[in-house]
Amino acid sequence: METNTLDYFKRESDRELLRKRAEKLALTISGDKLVQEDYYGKREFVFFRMGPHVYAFETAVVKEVMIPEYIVSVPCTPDFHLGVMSVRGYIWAVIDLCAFWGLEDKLESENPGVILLADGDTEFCIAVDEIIGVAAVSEAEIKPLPEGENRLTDFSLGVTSDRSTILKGAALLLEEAFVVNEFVGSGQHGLS
Amino acid sequence: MSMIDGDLKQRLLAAFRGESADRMRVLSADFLKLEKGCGVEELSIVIESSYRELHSLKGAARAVGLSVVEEFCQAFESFFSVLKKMRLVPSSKTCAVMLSWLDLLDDMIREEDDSAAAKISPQVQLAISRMKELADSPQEIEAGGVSIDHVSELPIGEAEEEIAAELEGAAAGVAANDPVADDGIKQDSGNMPTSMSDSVRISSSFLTGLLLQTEELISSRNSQSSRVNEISELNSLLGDFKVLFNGLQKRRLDFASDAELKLSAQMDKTIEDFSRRVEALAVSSRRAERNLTSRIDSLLGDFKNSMLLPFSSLLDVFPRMVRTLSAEQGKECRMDTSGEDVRIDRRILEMLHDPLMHMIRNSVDHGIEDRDNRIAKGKNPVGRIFFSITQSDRDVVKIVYGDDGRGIDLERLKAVAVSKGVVSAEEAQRMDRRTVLEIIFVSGMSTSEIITDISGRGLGMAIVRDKVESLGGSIVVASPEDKGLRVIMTIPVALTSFRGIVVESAGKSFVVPKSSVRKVMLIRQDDIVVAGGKETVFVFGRPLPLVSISDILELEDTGGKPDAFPVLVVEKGRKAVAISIDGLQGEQDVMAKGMGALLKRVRNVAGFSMLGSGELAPILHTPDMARTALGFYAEGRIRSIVHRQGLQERKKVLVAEDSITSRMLLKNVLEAAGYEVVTAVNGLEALHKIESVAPDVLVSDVEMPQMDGFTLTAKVRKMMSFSSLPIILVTSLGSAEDRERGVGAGADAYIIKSSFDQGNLLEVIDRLVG
Repeated sequence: METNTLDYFKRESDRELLRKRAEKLALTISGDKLVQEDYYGKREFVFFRMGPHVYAFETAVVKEVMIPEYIVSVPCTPDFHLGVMSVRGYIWAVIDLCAFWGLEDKLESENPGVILLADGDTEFCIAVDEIIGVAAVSEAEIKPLPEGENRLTDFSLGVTSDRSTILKGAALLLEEAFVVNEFVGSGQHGLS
Repeated sequence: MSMIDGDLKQRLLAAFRGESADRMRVLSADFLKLEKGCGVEELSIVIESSYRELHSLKGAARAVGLSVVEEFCQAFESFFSVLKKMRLVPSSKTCAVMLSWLDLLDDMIREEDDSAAAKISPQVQLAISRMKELADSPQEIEAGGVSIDHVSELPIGEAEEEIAAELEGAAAGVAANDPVADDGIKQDSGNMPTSMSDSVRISSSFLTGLLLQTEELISSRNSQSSRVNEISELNSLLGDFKVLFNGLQKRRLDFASDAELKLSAQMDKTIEDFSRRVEALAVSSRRAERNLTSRIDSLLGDFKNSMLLPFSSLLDVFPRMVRTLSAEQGKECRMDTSGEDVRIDRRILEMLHDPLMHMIRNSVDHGIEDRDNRIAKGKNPVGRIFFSITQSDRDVVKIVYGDDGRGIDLERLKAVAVSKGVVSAEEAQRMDRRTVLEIIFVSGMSTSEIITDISGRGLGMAIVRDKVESLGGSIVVASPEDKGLRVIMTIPVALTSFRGIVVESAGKSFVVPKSSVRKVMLIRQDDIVVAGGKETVFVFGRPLPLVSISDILELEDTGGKPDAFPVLVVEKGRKAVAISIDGLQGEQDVMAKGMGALLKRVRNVAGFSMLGSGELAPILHTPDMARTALGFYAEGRIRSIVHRQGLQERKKVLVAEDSITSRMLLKNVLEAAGYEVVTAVNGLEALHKIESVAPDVLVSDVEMPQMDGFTLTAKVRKMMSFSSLPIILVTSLGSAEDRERGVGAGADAYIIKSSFDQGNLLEVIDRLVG
């Protein structure tokens, strides 16, 4: 039996076939990695609009998208904290990236949609005007942004040919400036 | 093990508890069989089974880092491997010893001490060495004649003493724990090593998730209710339509042909059917909604109950910790608890763990003196740390923590606070005991130094206070002279069950924990006293600062206040403050939700809660708000007048002056300086006007007909709400006697007309009301 199997493996064409299959299977399993590449080296991104511009996150960091009924604003938080919302009983903070980056274009929607970003430790939502959809983009299509335009540059992977900005979701999740940790009397806040 | 922490560790431990209980059950059954004696065939099966169980238990213990258990199992396992290999039949004496080893193992498993410091107790050491001994000379196992009787017979000298000490310690530990309560917890936390039980282990985070999802049902119920209302409305609209329709039909019928009559009858029937069904739908949907409500209520109630655990499940770990810690310090200490069967939300217990542990560490490290010192002071050489827990109210638990150590050195505390610039030397001088003790809660950069310097007591007490307050509780520290420390905490029984007042400000809803509000009252414009440019209201016979909630929460102000508005009176230590709100929506049971990963700590906000309407609202952190309000007030950062109508911009001056020329002059001068001026022709008129005008300052001539300035001053001073109104007397009576008379009547300033110039008066007014 054993010799038979070995013989089988020796046949060049079959080995090639098996190698390809192994590669394919290996790619499927790597789905739990942060980067999902399809067979043609393309990755999937969630496209959305904030103000007039289109942005995208890689699907791996996006847990869910939804249009919440309401977002409750939280007093004594920075202006880029739009508020919080309840997702199946759990509280999620909603971040306004336009305000965080100090962009000239503000969110337009009265009732914004949200993109829930999560990794193991952190989770929060980004408020967006419109969720456009998911599309695959290859690495080569993403062109780097010119340096140091504004704070956005630090968080962007580049732009696509149709001028969508691809954002680094993982870097946003690590951004410590989003964390609010203030006591009264801790002297960390300015008062008017 | 130290590398694994948090959730994973808890999950591993929970799994280990389950596994070890099962394995211990098999082992004790096996051992009992061995003791009773059994056939050769069964014997080998039993020994094989025990061997395997011990082996697996060893592996499991290693996985959770219980190195002591692991080592013990290792020795036990090799003992069994000898039994197995040599097919020995243990004598009954050996079996008894084996059973005692099993008891030891059971104790070790229950202690779950995975710290690096976990030492093998002499008892265990002895047992292990006996196992090795027996494994080396297996004939003893079978013979049973050789003395393997009892541990205490074998060791000589030091070891024996050690064991005695150990046993004593264990006895003390047992004494501190009411055995009955003990059983209760073990069952609750699921590590009771009994046989079949009717409880199942569920992780608390899973349970919390279920509870949150259950709570979401409330919003489903609310939308259901609004649909029910919609149906009722449709039903009544249909009723209206029917009336109109029937009226129309009646008039038509007189001229109708047969065919039309027939059609009309059909229409009648259809409408009748339709209306009956809508009515039935209204009734049944109303009933369904009521059913849903009662089911959700009872489900939520049961869930909330399931979140309650006795305190002992938290306190049980402490006596051992106290022993270990004090041993490290070369001190002797024991811990007593009472009321540990009081039940409280498990999430609160979890959150209390660190603060309590912190206080115990402080006590052992710095509070409790060493043995010699204690004897010298005439204290019991063994230090005492205690917890006393009482349910002081339906929803409130009082925890008193204390030690009988040296207490807090107030002078030292003051000195350090002064040197760190927390208070000035003068302030420190004036402080009473309680205020000084408050210093240990001071947060900020210097805290840790202060505290470590002063015998470490209170290190991180700011964090302890913050934890307690964020649970909706309060904390007070007392330190009777040289009698140790007392920390008194009051905590709500459940995160799930505190009552909250729903308030409204700037069009938004907020929840204020009811326990932290001293009083809710309606304030009318007349109740507001503007003194020194700041607004106050009289509550409990004393003036309280009046601060608007939108100022505290940094919200957009909605503009002028109505004639009457509600205020919440909250206290901060002995200071109280009145916080004005736009409206009260009512009171309800509040369940706090965590704030998520990003919002670790937000000023003035403690959490979020779902309102009865299914809408989410921030829960306010009352102690923070009081601190914010008092801070604003003290530093004058508040927009001074926000409550009094029409006063937002200009201060009001009431001028009493009988000479028309002087009156005009004063009016012009003051108005030019931006004040609003109301005039009166004499003291009496001024007195009549003062109530309605409610000025910020009174400027009065002295010599006036009907009522002079002195009398006016004296009368105004007697009016409760104007007792602190700044009064300036302007006069030509320049004698020292007159001046004294003015001051005696209660005037704040006395300006002589001869020295009168505009600048002087304006300066004085500015100083008094600015």
